[in-house]
Amino acid sequence: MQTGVIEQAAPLLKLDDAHNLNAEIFVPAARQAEESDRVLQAIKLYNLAGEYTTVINSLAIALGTTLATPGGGGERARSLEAAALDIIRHYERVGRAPVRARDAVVKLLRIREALDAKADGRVDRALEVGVHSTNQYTC
Amino acid sequence: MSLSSSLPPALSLSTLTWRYVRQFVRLDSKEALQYVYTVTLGADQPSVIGKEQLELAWDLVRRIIVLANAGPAWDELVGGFRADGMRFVCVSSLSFA
Repeated sequence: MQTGVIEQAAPLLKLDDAHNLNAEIFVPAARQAEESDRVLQAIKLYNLAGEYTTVINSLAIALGTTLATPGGGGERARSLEAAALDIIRHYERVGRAPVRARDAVVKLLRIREALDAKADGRVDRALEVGVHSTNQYTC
Repeated sequence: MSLSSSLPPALSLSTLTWRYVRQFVRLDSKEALQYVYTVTLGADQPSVIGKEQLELAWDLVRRIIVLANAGPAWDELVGGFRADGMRFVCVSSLSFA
């Protein structure tokens, strides 16, 4: 690795520790990325800055949006869901971010799984995922 | 250049720099950063001016992060990520923290 070029040049920016670098560069940039609808970048930046709860909250909001998009949101939604799955697995393993927030993301991912199963004509699987994983009917 | 009746004429290095780098910031963000670092050369100016120059440079760095195209080059800007979104950890980054 894999230290970013910005971090390597931090002394040039007179940001001489990780805390200042996060506060002046990565966290505000994450906010700007989020406002510019660049969700994956925003999530990576929040993660980098150690804002794990914000990572999960942003993921939940973004997943909620893609689920509500007609047609499922396309390629962009798929890469978001893939990243969400990876991140949630890791956070669960190391115990990052509050359990409730993580559960929200897990449920949203299950709903997507159920919707995909339904789209493939596997209605029984859709029902199973929908009912058992989320305690609600999704199809 | 800013001209004001009460102040001596002044060049805004950060504005000039941004006008130049924004042409290629999406495609070559690393190169754009190099130019932005020159703005910090004014960081030793007296009183608040030095700090102001630094903050202008920080603002341009944030703009570059947000505008640069996603992909491996973008990951290089902010640091490496594994597939699970976690940061790689190495000795140098630990000592940095």
